[in-house]
Amino acid sequence: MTALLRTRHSVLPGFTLSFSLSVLFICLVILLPLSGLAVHVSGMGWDTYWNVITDPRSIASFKVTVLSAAGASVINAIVGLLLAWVITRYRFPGRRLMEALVDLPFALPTAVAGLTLAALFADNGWLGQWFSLAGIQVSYTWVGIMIAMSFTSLPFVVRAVQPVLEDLTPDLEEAAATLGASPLASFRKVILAQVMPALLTGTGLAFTRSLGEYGGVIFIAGNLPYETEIVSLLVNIRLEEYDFAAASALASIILLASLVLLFGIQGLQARLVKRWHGL
Amino acid sequence: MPRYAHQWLLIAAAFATVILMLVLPLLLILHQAFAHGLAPVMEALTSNDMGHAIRLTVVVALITVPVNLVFGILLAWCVTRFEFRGRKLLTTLIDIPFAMSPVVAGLCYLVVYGSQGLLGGWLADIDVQLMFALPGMVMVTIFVSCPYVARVLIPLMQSQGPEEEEAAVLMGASGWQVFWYVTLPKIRWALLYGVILTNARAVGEFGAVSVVSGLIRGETLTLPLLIQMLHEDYNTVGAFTAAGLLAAMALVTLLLKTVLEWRQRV
Amino acid sequence: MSIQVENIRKSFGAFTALHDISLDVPTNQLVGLLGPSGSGKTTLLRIIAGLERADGGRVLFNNEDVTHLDARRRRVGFVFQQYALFRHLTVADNIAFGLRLLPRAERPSRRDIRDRVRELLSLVQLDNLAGRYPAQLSGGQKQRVALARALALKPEVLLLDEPFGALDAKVRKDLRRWLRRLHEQISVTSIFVTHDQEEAMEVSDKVVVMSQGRVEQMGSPLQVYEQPASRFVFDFLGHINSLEGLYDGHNWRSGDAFLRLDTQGACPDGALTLYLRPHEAELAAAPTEAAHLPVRVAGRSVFGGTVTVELEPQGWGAEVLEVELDRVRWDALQPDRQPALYLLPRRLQTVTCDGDLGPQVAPA
Repeated sequence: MTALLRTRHSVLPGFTLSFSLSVLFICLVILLPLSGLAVHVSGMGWDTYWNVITDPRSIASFKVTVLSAAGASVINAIVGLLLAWVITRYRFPGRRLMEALVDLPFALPTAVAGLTLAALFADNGWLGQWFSLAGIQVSYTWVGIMIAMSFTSLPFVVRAVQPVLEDLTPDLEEAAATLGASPLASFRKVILAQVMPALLTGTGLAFTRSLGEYGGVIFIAGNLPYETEIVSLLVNIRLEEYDFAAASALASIILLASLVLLFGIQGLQARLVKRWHGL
Repeated sequence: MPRYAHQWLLIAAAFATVILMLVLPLLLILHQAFAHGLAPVMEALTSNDMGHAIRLTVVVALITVPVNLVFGILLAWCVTRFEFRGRKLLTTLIDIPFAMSPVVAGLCYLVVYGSQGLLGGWLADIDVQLMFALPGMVMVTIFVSCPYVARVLIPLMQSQGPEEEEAAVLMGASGWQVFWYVTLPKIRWALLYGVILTNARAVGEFGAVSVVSGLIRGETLTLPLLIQMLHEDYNTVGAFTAAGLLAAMALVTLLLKTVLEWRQRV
Repeated sequence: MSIQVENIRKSFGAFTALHDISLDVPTNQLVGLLGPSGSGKTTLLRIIAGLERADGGRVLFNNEDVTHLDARRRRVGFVFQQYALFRHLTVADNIAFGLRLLPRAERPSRRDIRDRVRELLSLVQLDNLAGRYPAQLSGGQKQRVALARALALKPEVLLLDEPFGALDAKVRKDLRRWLRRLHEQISVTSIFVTHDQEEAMEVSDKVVVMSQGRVEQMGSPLQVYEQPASRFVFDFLGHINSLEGLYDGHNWRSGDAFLRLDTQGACPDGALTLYLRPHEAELAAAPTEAAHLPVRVAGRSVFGGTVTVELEPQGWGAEVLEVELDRVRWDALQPDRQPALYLLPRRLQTVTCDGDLGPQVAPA
């Protein structure tokens, strides 16, 4: 097996061991459960499947999930770009703290984030009261879902854009300025153009994550069927009702969407790497 | 230091965002937990449910982290030190848990190992229950947190190249000696970094675990699941006390992460 | 220890890195593998070390077949292009690494290891840097540590991959001489890889010129330079001027220019290209009977005792020519006051129309 797979000889030891254990692990931990779902879904018949996913409640949950995730991704693209820009470009007191805190949503368990955001944006909460003064209801609406999703996926954009901004030397902007570009024009034409691929990658990852977000959302969402029920929650509800077929059918849709997004983003990245390094 | 007003404006906007989105939630946790003073917090901390949840969470993390550590090292070694067909595929597959909804991940495990699952009948025959028990919770936690170590190690080992290992081989080192004396010292900080990230995810996992845990009070509730349970019981102090514990873990994670990133740069 | 390489072949996928390479390196010689990048020289070195496995052929040390011997048992010293020093170990620990890994029976005592490290450090003139980490060393120092580490196990074969490749020009020159002297002090058979002609010429006992996975020529530096075996070798070793024209058995002509050449029938009538090395020509105010090559000075640069002159051919077809002249003679010629100048080649390499090298000739 190893002779067939190995195209380049290496004197370093451990190929057979590391390769076979890695493949075994990936098969058992990742691929077996995935194919389990595929087998389960394919066994249920097209009609049942179609009925489950076109059920009005399912459709509503798809809508809420995708729209909130899209909204959260737009927020993240803007906020993420701002944070990445400020962290890489300016030196000011508190910068290191800011950089460390950006990763908080990844380190903080999603249930904690969900619980806290729900309290923060409740009608009498620290932030919620201001919103309700302005007549905006956050908790138990898609706005709350969107806020929760943008919290849990905030670091993606910052972390994708930051290295690119670090590589962009200020001479580019200076060159644009000497050519008579206004600061705003030089930002749009010079910086945004270069950052765009990374920004898209980061936003894509944030969107993928938001589609599947669960713990962060359910506390703030109110979980009203047809209104603020996300797909992941509906899957869980169907499971609690012992309706495996419905749960699996719904799950297969988000799974497919996230895999397509993942491979799409990876393909995009590979193409960009090639273009940048001229390989 | 910024020189112009618009630069200070941007910094102010960034600070406002960070405070509103990130700092305020942390303060809120403290505020809510200690809303009625120290006594209820102590009571919540010493309750049986909390004690059990903490122990269970630690056990899950203690099993998950070493498994994923070993797997991460093996995969990183394999894809950065050898060239073979399918190398790209392996590194792509490893990202799947990142992209998947944790609830779907839990469901996948249920579909395979649950009582009505593909292997369910066989598991029942040999009298093994994986789902709605500790083994299932560990399995899905391993799933959701398996990419971290490999993801941290692969770019590092790629950039370090195989020459130092080759040099060691030419000086007569055996496989273990190469790994132990050359590779491991080079990657130890990154490895620790990966472990910290894996641990944070393992401790905090909610969606996947909630599907396979069965939510049996005093038996299969980890800290994040307990938060939900207490929240539904309108036990605000209890919920925020548990949240505070996890937030403290998150802050320690961030601190270590920052220190390690700084160390790696030097 | 002598090294023989017999019919080594190696491909990476569709790309053939080495076609049937055979070499013979006698004991204690220092041999330079010279070639452009992609010529297969590093691959050959790695095969000799055992880091790469050949698709066919044999490698012998002292007539003993080591083709299938593990790299870790070949006991060769190897210096990597980027040094590959263990970044987490001090200079002394780097050098002692191999000694400490020896099986208990062969391993020297702690004190002996310390002495050996000290001895090696003084050999590479880095006595006071034992406690430093690689990141704290300059390129030249890293290079010498890498060499000391490679010599720690007293190998009889020393292999160096572009040993001076990553260093700046001045350090390179110093290290080159130092390596040459060091090689004379210790008895070891060495092969080093380089793409730098000067380096190969100065350091090696023998030069192996490689191109596209083949050995073009093997010989002493002088031999390779004076009697190149192929057009590639001639081309690769230093700058050449190429003069294209027609030959009629007695005279070579191109426009207004001509050279009287006696090739004793070695070159057929017709198109004939002549290669001229920059230093094998003279400049004069008048043509000779045998050489009439009118030129105009288009540029000059003075460096030390040599003047490098760019010459534009007048009334004949060739690109700008580059010649190196002795500065004293250049000044004596007073080129700016001369109405016309003529190039007088001392020696030319003929290249026939099918691309083979013909005899070397002088106008007469």
